[in-house]
Amino acid sequence: MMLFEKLERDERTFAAGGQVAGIWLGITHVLLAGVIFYRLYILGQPDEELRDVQTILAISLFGHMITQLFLGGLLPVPTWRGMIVGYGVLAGTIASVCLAIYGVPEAAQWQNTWLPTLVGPALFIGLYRLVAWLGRRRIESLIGD
Amino acid sequence: MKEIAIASDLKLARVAKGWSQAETAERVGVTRQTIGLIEVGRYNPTIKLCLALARATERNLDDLFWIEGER
Repeated sequence: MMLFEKLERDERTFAAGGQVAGIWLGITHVLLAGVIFYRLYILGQPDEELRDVQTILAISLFGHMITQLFLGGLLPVPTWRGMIVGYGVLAGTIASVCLAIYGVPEAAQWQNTWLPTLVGPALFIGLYRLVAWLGRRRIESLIGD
Repeated sequence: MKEIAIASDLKLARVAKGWSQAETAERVGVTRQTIGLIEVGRYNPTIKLCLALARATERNLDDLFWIEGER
């Protein structure tokens, strides 16, 4: 006894499914980041209790970004100017939020405060640019230019 | 850049063949809903699907599909 009609798939349903998956993935990322922020900085829960959620979010976010970039042309490749502006916005936002919540850190704690705030965004943007460049190079090699 | 919408003569072409939407869909390997959406201009088929439909209905590609507003 059939419980459902046969599910037929074609180019349209695959395209629509991809768009839907992308939208809900983005929503999930935002919600997870919001939950982490809320639990860390509003509820004051220790970082160790959120390692698993942070790890899952990082894997999903970077895996999604890297795959899209490497498949080629699915995300914009930043210019050098774009990278500098992006770094400034990212590092500035992180620094502002941390200063607002924790105040000015002690100089002796620079390895746990200023270092990750300044180096983290640089690594993120550098990795983004590298993968985007590798993905573009892959597509150009397929074209044969 | 304004999105290009594809118009088609698909309904006339398949009716001329005596096919339903479902029969047409089966011949080119898509769902009936996709054929229906193409006919009402709510889905832009890929060139691959356009060629498959042109071949199935024995029509020229240019006669079967065009950019909306250009005819």
